[in-house]
Amino acid sequence: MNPVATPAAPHAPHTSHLEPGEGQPGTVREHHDHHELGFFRKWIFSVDHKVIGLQFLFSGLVFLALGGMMAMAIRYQLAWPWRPMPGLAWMFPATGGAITPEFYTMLFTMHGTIMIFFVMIPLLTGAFGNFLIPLMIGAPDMAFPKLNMFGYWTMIPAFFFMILGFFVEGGHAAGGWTSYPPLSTIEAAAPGSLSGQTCWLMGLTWVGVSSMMGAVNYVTTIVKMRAPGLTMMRLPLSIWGLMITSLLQLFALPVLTAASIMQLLDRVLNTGFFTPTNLLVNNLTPDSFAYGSEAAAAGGQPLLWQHLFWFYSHPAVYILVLPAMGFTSDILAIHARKPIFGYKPMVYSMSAIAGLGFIVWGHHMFTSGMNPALGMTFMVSTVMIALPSAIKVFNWLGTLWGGRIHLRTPMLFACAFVSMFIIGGLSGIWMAATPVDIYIHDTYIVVAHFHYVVFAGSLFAIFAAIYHWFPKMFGRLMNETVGKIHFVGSFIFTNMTFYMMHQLGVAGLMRRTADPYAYDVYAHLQPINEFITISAFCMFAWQIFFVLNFFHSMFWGKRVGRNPWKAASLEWDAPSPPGHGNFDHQLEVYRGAYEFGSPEVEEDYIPQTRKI
Amino acid sequence: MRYLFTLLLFLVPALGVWTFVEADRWQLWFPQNVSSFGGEIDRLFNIIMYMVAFTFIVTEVCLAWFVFKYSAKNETKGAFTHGSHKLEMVWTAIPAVALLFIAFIQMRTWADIKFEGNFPKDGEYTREKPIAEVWASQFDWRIRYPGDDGVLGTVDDLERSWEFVVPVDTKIVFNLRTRDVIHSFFVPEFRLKQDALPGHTIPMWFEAKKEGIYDLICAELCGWGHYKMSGRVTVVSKEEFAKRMSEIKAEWFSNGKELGE
Amino acid sequence: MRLSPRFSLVAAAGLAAWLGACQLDKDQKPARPVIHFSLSAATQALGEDGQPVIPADVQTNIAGSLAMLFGTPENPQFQLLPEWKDEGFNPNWPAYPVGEDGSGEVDLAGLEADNKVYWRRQLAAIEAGQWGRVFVQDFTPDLREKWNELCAQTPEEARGDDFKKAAAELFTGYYPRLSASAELYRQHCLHCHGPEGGGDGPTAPFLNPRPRDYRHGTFKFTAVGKSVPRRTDLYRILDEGVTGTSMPSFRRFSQAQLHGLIDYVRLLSMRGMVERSLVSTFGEEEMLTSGDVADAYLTVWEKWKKADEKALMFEGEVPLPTPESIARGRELFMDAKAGNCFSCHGPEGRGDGVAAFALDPETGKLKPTYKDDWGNEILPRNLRIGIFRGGRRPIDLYRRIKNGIAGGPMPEAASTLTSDDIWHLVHYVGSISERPQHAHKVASHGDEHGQSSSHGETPASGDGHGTEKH
Repeated sequence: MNPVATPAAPHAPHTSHLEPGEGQPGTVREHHDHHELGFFRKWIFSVDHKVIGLQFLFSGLVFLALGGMMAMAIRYQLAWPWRPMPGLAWMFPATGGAITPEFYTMLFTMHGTIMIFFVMIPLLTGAFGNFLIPLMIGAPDMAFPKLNMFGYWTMIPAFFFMILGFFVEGGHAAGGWTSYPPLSTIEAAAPGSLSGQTCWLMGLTWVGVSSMMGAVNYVTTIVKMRAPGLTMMRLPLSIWGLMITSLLQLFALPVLTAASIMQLLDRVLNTGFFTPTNLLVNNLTPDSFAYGSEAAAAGGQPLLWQHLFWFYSHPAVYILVLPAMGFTSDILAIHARKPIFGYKPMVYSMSAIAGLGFIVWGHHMFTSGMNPALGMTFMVSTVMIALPSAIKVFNWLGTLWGGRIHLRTPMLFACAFVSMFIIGGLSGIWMAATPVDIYIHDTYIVVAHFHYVVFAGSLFAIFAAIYHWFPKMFGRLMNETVGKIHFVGSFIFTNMTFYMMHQLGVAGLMRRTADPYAYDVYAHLQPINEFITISAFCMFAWQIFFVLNFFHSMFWGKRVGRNPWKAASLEWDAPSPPGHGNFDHQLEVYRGAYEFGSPEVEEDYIPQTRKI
Repeated sequence: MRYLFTLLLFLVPALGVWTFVEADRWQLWFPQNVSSFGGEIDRLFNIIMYMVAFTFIVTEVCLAWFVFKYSAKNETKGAFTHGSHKLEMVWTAIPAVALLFIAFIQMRTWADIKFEGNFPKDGEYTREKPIAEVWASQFDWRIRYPGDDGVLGTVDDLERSWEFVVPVDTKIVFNLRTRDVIHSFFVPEFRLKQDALPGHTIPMWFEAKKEGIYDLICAELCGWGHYKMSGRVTVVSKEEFAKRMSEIKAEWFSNGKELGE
Repeated sequence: MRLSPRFSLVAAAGLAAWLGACQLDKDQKPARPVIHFSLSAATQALGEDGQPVIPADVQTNIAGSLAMLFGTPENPQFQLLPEWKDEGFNPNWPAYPVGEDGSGEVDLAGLEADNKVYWRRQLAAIEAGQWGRVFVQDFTPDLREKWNELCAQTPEEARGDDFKKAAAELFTGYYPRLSASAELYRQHCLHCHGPEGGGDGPTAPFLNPRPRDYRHGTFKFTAVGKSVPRRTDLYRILDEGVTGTSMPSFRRFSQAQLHGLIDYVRLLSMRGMVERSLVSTFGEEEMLTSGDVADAYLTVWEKWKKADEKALMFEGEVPLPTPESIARGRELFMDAKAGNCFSCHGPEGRGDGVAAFALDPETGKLKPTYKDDWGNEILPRNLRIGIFRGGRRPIDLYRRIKNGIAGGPMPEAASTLTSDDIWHLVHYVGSISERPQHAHKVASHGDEHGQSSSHGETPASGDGHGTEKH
C-alpha cells in the first residue's frame, strides 16, 4: 500500500563518498552555520531561489483556487443559464441573482488569463524553475539572485492590477483572454474595455517582465553554473524542459510585451495600431473628431494584434507543457526504476517542439481572414509539430516498458499526464487540418483540446511534481493515502468534465456563449452540459484532499531524509530541505541522471555523484 | 490498488472510444451536411479520426498494460536500457509519413473553399457580382441584396435583418463585412466559418444542396451580447427564391399600409 | 499538536463528501430567481429637505395599487374591468378567440405556420416517436409544463397517433401566457431594459443609446407619431431590431413568443404610465384616492386601445427617386422655412448642424443642445452613413420626417410640407446616405468609404446620442 513508508534511511553507498565532517544525510538543520536571517529577509525579501520558488508556488496555488472558482461559475451558467448564481447572487439584485452576460464574458476572460499567466506559467517556471534548477545542476543559487528576487517582486504589481480590474467600472477585461481588437481597444465596445482592459494589459506586461527576468536567470544559471562533470547531456530532462522554456520566453515574450504596450497606447493615447477607420462601435466612431475628442488616429489593422499575440501565445502553449514534460520524464524514470528511454531523442524532440513552436502561430487564425495561402503553410508546420510530441510519448512508454514501477502518487499523476497528453495532443491534429478547422474552430472541441493539454496535462504534472519534490521542499512526505484518493477522484472527474466536450464541439457548440440554448440548434445539448457541470463541481470539491494533504504534510508530514525516492539526480544529494547554499559538500558528476537498475552495482540506482 | 489504477488508465481508451461511437445516437455528432464541400470536410475529419483513434487506442492500452505488468514485482531490477536507435527511427519515420499524409490530403479542400482563384467564375454569382453583402454588427446580422441596379452600396439596396435567403443548388458568393468588431459567420450545416474583419470585405462562397432552415451563429467573441447574435440562412428553391426576393422588394417599397404596418 | 494522517483523511473525506452532496443533491434545476417590481427613481425621489417628496405611506399605496392592477413579475396580469367582459376583451390572453378566452388581438391561426417552423425539430421528433429528443427550452416554461403533463398522462408504450396529434397541437398552437413571456423577458431583455422596463438593467449603463424606458409609453420608431405604439410597431422593432443600437433582431424566437413579449412590454409600459400618472396626481392634489387609481388605469387603457386609430398612413404608391426629386429635396433640406433640416443635421447631413450644439461655458467645448424625454443628451442623426434606426426603407424615412420622433427633438414635418415634398426629402436623404461600391473595389482593404467618395469624406463624425467620447 505505502511503498515509501520506510524511505531513505541513509545507506552506505550514498554516504561513502562524503568527506568527513560534511554533515550527515537526512539531517535537516545542522548545516545552518550561516547567520540566521530575520523573518522578512528570509521569507519575504529573500534572494534564496528556494524561497522564491515557494513564493511562486503559493501565489500560484492561490490564483489556481481563484481561477477554479471562476470556472465553476462559468460551468454553472452553462448548465443552468440565468438562474441565481450561488455566492454571487448579491451582486445582481436587479436580475434576482442571475449573472449578466457581460459578467459572463468577464468570467471566462479572467479564467483564461489567470490560469495561463498567473497559475500555469508561474507554477511551472516560477515555482519549479526556481526551486529545481540550482538544486538539479548542483549550484548554490541562481546566477543572479537579486534579479531573481525582482522577478517575484514584479509579480506584485501584476497581482495588483489583475485584482484591481475586478473593482473598476464595467468590471474586468471581457474581450476573451486573447483580447482581440477592436473589441478590446475601443472603450465603448464592451463594459470590460472601459478600464478593465487597461488593468489587464498592465498586469500582463508586468507578468512578462517577471518572466523575462526569470528566463535570463535560468538560462545563465543552466549554462554557466553546472557542477563539475555535469555536461549538458547529463542534465535531467526537467532542466532541459525548463531551459528550452526559458529560451522560448526570451525570444517570444518581448513580442507580447511590445504588443500589449501597443494596445495600451491604442487605448490611452488613441494611437490606432489595431483600430481600422470607419468603425461605428456602440454608436460611437472612435476615430472621429467628435466634439471634444482629440482622438483622430486610426487606420490600424486588427489582424496585426492577432499575429503578435499568437506569436507569443502559441510558444506560450509550449511554455505551459515543456516543463511538465520534463518533470514527467524524471518522475516516470525514477518511479519506474529504469533509465529514461531515448534521452537524446527526448532532448531533440523538446528542442524541435520549441523551434517549430515559433512557426505555427497562424493555426489560431485559419478563419481570421488571413491569406489562405498562409493557412496552408501553417498547417504543414502545425501538423509536423505533432511528430516530436509523438516521439516523446513513445519514449515515455518505452521508459515504462520493462520497469519496476512503484505506483506512488507522483507516479500516478505522471502516468495520468501521459494518458491525458495523448488525448490533448491527438485532438490537436484536427485543429491543425485547415479544412476541418473551418468547422471546429472556436467550438468546444478546442476547449476540450486545450484543457486536456493544460489542465489534465500540465496541471497533473504539477501535482506530480509537488508530490515528488515536496520532501525536498519541506523535508516531509505528503500523505500517500490521501494523495491516492486525490488522484483517483481528480482523474475520474477530470475526464468526466472534459471528455464529452469533444462531442459537444463536433455537434457545433460554440465556446464563449453565455446562453447557448437560446439557439434552437443547441437546445438539446443542455443535459450533457449539466452532466459536465456536476462533474466539474465534484472535481473542484475533490481538490480539498490536495489542500488538506498539502498543509497537513507541510507541518505534520512524515519526516524523510535526503533521498526518499532513491533518485539519482543531484537535488537528492542536498539535505531536505536544503539550507542556504544548498549543498553541504563538493559535488562531482560522473554520469547522467537516470542510472536505474544498472547491473554495475548492487542497488538499483547510481547517484550522479558516485564514482565507480 | 494496482488493479484500480490500471483500470482507470484502461477506461480512458475504452470509454473514450465508446463515447465517440455512441455520440451520433446521443445527437452529439455533426449536424447534417448540406453544402457542396461539407462532405469533404467530414471525410477529412473522419480520416484523421480513424488515424488518431488507432494511435489513441494503441498508446493508451500500452500505457495501461505497462503500468499493470511492470508494477507487479518490485524486488528485482528492471530492464537496463537507455533506448534503441532502431526503435526511435521507426517511431519517428512512421508518424512523420502519417502526418505528412494528413497535411497533404487537406490542401485540395482548403484551396477549394478559401482560395479566391477557386471561387465560382461562371455561375450566376461571382466574385465581381456577389448575391449579397452580409453585415455583422453588435449584435445583429443584416443582409443587403443589391437592388435593381445590381450594385451593392446604392440606395436601392434591399436590406433584411437576421435572415439570409439563398437559392438551392447554386454557387453563392457573398461579401462578409462588419461595422464594428470582429464577428464570425458560422453555419454548422454548411461547415462554413469565416471571421468578419473590420476594415476588410471578405468574399465567401458556398453551395447548399438541400432546402431548409439553418442557424447562422456568430462564432467570434463580439462583446457581451455575443450569445444573442443569431441569424438564419434559409435555402429555398430557385423559384421560391425569386418569389422571396420580390416579396422583400415589395416590402421595401411598400407604403406600410398594404403590409398592415 | 500533531494531526494523524488518519484524522486528516477522515476530515478531508467528510468535507469532500459534504461539498459533493451539496451539488449532487440538486437533481432538480436551481430555482428561478425572484424578481420584484419597484417604484421608479422619480417616485422615490427625495426633496431638498432629505425627506421623500411622496411620503412613504403613499409610496406603499402606489406600489400596492400597481401590484393589484398589474400583478408581480412571477404572476403578471392585468386587472380585468367588468365592462371588458361584455366587450369580449381579455388582455391577459390576447390571442383568439374573442370573448372570455381572449381578446382577439392576435390571430393564433396566423401564428401556426411560424410555430411549425420554429418547433420543427420538436415536431419531427414527435412524428418519429423519439420522445427523448423533444427538448423544450427553459424560456417557455408553460409549454414545458404542458408537455410534461401530456407525457405523464400517457405512458410511452401507449403513445399512438392520438398522442402524436395532441403533442403536435401543443407546439403548433403555442401562445405564451403572460407569466411565460415574463420569464422570456427576464432571460433575454431584463439585463438591459430592467425589471420594470425602466431601461435601467445592469447592462444599460454601457449602452449607447441607452435602452428604451417603457414607462413613459413613448416609443420612438412607430407609425403613430407621439402616441403610444400599436402592436405592429412593437412587433417590427422586435422583428427587425434597431440597427445602429444594441437592440438586435429577436426573430430567433417564434412569432408567438414575440407577441407574448409585446404583451408583457405593454403591461410594463402601462404600469409605468399609471405610476407616473399617480405621481403627478399626487403632486397636484397632495393626496391619492382609489378613484384616482381607477382613473389612471382607465385613461392609460384608453390610450393603448386607441393607438391603432392614430397611425398615420401614406396612401398610394411609394414614388421612386428621380434627379429632379433629389434636387428638390436638397432645396427643401436647406430651406429654413420648409424642411429646415440643415439647422440640426448640418448642410451636408453629417449631423453637425449649428442648432444641435452649444458652447459649454465651463469646458469651452461644444456640447449637444438637446435632451430627449428621458434626460439623455441627444445628437442629430448623421445621414451619411446609411444607418437609420427606424429603418432604411423609404416608408420608414417618410414616417420619421412626417411624424417626427416621439420623445426626441425631431419635430413633425411642418404643415406646409406636402407629402410630395416629404418624398423629395426622403429621396435626397437616401441619395446622400450611400456610396456605391465599384465591383472591382470590393476586395480592397477597407475604407472605400473614406477614400473613394466624391464628397471628400472624412471619417464619419459623431453620430447618435450621448456625449462620451471614445
